Amino acid sequence: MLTAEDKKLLQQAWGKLGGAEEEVGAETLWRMFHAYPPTKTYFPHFDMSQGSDQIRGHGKKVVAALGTAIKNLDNLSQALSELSNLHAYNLRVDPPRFALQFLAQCLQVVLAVRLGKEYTPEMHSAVDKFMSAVAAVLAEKYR
Amino acid sequence: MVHWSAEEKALIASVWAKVSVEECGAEALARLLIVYPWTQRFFDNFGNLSSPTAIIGNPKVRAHGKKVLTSFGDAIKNLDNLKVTYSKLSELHCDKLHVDPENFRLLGDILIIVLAAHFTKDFTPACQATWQKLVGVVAHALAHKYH
Repeated sequence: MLTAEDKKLLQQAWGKLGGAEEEVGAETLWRMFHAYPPTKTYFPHFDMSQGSDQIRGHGKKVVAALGTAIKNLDNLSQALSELSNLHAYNLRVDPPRFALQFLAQCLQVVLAVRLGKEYTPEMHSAVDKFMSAVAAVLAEKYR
Repeated sequence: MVHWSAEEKALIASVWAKVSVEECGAEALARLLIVYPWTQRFFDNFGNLSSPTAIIGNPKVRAHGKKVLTSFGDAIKNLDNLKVTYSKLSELHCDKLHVDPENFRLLGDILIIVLAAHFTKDFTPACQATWQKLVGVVAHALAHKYH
């Protein structure tokens, strides 16, 4: 699914974040909760105020996991195996919510906001394909 | 009927006032054809769609993108009356064009990304939330007459 060019573009995109992973993660989650309120149902225990420690902490975790995935594009299934188990057996986030309309859309928006014109159609396409691949791996063990 | 708060209407209007319908329309349609290549099936007579560069430079893509976004502007002028406003367009997309309504959702999401790249930090979370609602409602109105 992901071509060599896609992989290069992904690494480039991630490289341009320049250490702002935590902010990117927090903003992605914040936008997701705001634009898609039903996604909050998975976080009843969270302080949902903007900039809360929990949103920042969780955003950082999500982006770190995506960073790991980007370093292991040839072996996504294995690299994300534990997260796959977690999502299937513990978290049980409704699979369509992965597949991903909401998190991926918000991540794309955050990347577009940060990169502006540099967020080319080719980069957009690579990130979209990547997020589909991640969603598929995370949903692998659901049933 | 969908309810729009004063704040939502203001967010829609303020973004729309600054949008170049020609540029954003062309870009949104081009990205649809690039990111979701299967959508090219609706545009067999558009000529060269063989690469992102070809798609972005294709004059038919640009013209059609402008047409689509211009129509979106009609939706914005008729927020309280969308289903009626889009009634004929909905029938057209079903009966003549045979477009799966899922594609309206895809285009809506892409439009949001184009706006985000264009307006960068001015495209705040509140803006995005309102516009996601708007594209959802437009997609719904376009699908309404399907049978």
